[in-house]
Amino acid sequence: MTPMIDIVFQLLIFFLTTARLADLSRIRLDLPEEPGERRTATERAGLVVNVDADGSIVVGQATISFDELESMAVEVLRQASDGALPQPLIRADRNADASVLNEVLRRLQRSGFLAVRIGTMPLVSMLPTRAPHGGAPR
Amino acid sequence: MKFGRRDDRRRQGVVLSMSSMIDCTFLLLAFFLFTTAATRPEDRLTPNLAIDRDRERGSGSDFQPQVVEVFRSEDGPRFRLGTRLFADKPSLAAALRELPRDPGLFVRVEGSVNVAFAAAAVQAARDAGFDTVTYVPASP
Repeated sequence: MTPMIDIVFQLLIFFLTTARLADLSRIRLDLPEEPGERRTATERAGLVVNVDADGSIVVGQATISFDELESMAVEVLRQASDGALPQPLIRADRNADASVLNEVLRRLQRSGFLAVRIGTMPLVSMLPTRAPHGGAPR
Repeated sequence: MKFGRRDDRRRQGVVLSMSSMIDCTFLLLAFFLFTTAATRPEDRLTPNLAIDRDRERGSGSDFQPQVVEVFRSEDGPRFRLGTRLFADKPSLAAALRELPRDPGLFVRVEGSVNVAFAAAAVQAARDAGFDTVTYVPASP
């Protein structure tokens, strides 16, 4: 029994330490394959705006319009009481038209946001453990 | 002296049932196996926001704003820095490294390109060492 219990515990510890529970605010997208800024500090998620490849805007699980996004952004800013201006996270599919991203950013800027975070997905070769290279659209 | 024997007697009285512990362990293992989402790690770029007219107003300042334009030419998406055109991110980043960092950089993106190229321009600016990168959505 002892070796089996050992293995089971090892597996359990592995899954406990590597588990990333599904985040419902993030839909499955092909984000731009860029290394990003490689910041290690965790940030509060706040408003997460997903832009699908076909240009639809998804917040949470709902597809919303630009006007709804703007009113949502105003509400998020109103509720930000700790003084620090939140930075919404824009997760835009790399194949989506930049016109949609531009309009999203224009609405957020109009709502009062001064900066945003644009989600990227580093390739394995871009991760900090290895030398960063490549990945740029050509 | 009978130190050892006294402890042995106590141990004999304790019966630890392995079955329930294994059950719990397997249940936990199954839970984490089923709820684990295989997600790739994500990072982010954090540009400031500006709209076109802000950049135009900026012409009254002492320095000429440094602007990278991302647009679609007949040959495909291109990056423009002044009069120079670049087809890929590494060459753009190399050109940006020659610029002064203090004034920051504006990245103006036309709607006709893909998001990948907008992100590539911001990434090139970061790779070149610009701390202040401002994203300017082009007018529709």
